[in-house]
Amino acid sequence: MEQLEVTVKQLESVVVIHAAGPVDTTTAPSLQEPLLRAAESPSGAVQLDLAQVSYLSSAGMRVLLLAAKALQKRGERLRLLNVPQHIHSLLNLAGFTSFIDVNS
Amino acid sequence: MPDSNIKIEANTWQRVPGTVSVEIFPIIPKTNCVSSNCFIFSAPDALVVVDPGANPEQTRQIIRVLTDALALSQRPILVFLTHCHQDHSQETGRLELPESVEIKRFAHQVGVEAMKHGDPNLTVNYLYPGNPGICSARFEGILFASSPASERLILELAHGRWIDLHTEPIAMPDGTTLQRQWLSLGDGNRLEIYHTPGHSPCSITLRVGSLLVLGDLPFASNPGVCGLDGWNHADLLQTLRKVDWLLEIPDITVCCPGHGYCVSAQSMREKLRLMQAEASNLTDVPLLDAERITALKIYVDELLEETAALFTIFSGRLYTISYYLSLLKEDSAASRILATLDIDRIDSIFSDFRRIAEAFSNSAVPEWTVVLKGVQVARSLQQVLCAEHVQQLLDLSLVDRAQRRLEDFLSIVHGLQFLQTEQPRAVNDLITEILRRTKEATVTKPTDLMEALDDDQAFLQALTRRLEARSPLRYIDFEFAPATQETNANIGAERLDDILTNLMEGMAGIGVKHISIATRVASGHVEIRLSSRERIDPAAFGKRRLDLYNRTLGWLGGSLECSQDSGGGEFVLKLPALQSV
Repeated sequence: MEQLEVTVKQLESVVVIHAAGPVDTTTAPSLQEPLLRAAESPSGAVQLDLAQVSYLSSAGMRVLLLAAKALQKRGERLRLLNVPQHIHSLLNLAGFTSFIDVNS
Repeated sequence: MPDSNIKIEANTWQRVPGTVSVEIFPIIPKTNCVSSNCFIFSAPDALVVVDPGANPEQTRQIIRVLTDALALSQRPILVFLTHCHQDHSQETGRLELPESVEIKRFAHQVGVEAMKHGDPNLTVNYLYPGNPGICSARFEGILFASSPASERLILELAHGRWIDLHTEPIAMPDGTTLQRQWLSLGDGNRLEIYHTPGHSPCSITLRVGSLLVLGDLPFASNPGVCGLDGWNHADLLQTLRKVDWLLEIPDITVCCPGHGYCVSAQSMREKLRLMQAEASNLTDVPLLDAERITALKIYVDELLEETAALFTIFSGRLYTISYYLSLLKEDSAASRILATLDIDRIDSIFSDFRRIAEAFSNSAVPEWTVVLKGVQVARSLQQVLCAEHVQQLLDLSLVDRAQRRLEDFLSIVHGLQFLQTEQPRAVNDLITEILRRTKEATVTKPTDLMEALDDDQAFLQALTRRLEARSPLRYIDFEFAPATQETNANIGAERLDDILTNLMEGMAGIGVKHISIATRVASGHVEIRLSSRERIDPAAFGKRRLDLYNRTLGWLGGSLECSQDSGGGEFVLKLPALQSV
């Protein structure tokens, strides 16, 4: 089974998380933990780079929702970077782009 | 799940119901199509092995169990095959025991001939990659041989003993005959064998005491199983009636299938009756050969990509609603919304399928397994979608689209022709209807919230309804140039609606803001063009999803093409005009 690799880069005022692989029910927890840790920290923007994500299931969407909710509490929005077009399309159709910033 | 009324446990010896001195040791692996269950019986005069299977690890377990049983009492071993399929028969010749142990093998004459001649079709050997090898063991017991001399078959054993196989057909109340043979297991116990063709011409059912071993009869009408080489519709219907009659006999209490858990006779009877209803429609099922399995495997991949996308969008919309409800501090309403669909279960169903599909890509599992897994996934999804609380959701269009794809898939795998159950409709009218619906969904009704202000629950429901009604097509600027001629096409309105809506929503998903729709009639086809000023990358839709739409249209004599030029992108759907059919 293809694995999800997650790396975290702490820059001065932003945390950039890179995910590579499929984000589904099996792999989503390995993204959820670092993403929520960053989103629930008191300050700093959070960016998630999806350039290497091959597949995003509803379990992946749930993780994005949890991070967006945590960031919203401190008035921030989750920013997704390098979103593959097919995932961008799903996020669009699901209405996620109304509360998450997406850069393709 | 095991039947809680039945106390037949795997991997342990237990008394066979209805006998005083026969025990059974069932080996029931996790259900799969690569290797079958195996049932070992210990009787005073013999050890009986039914269906050794096709897993060398299972063979080692069988040998250990037999060795222990022989240590208690030396007896001949009688190996029976419920039929000659690879997953039941492969290991038959590999039960390596000391030379002093006598092994006699039994199978229906047709199966014995198939294995003897290495027939890859009747043994369904072709379904399994890696050339696993067809059972080449010698069969001393030819069951239901066509020669009249076989009315009584005597097999000699060492020390002046013998096995006497009696033939005693049963006259059925409806005037037909159930072919039966039997042999003594000692101490008044009998092993009865019935010829039960349908799944395969060599299928048999065995009875010991109150227990029946049915082989693969309970699966014979399943999509992906019916149509295998040797499958026969008329035989299957007759066999189902005969076994139903057998199960009427009050002292049969337990039924053991070739795959999965043992169940009560009552449960099996209910299942077989459902099968009778299902099987009665299975006329003209095409042969499920290697070529068709390959085509079905591709179809499974496409279907799963399509339904996974629809579910992801649908569950994403529920998450979006829950997000906004949470912002309004309506956390319990947010949780309720998410509970309407078992998102985690659906996600794990897809994840499970993806693992099987990946294993296939690594050549670890046969193509057939992927098809059967696809059937299992489709049925599980249908179950989730039929749940009452899902049906209460306000916007069911995505769910309905997924349901229709699943139904189509199961029909096709069943071997039924692509079912056109809907009425065709003029394409111009359908497009007008879709555009009207899109506008309707975008209309805001300020009064619904105002009217509900005094009632918290009603307000919340109105709010949820508003959030759900946000069509992804709401920001699209449409332009429609209808053909002036009749545009009746030979495709069901719902299927065409699904394809058009999915394509247009997909275009909205990749940021298209303006869609020009044009229809025209030419060369016996109704043509629909969906054009945008932006380029359309097929990869953004998922290539397999587009392949699925093309395949669906293709079954009906149409096609789908995607093209690009400097002016933008375009989908062209060609549908057979109704009068040309």
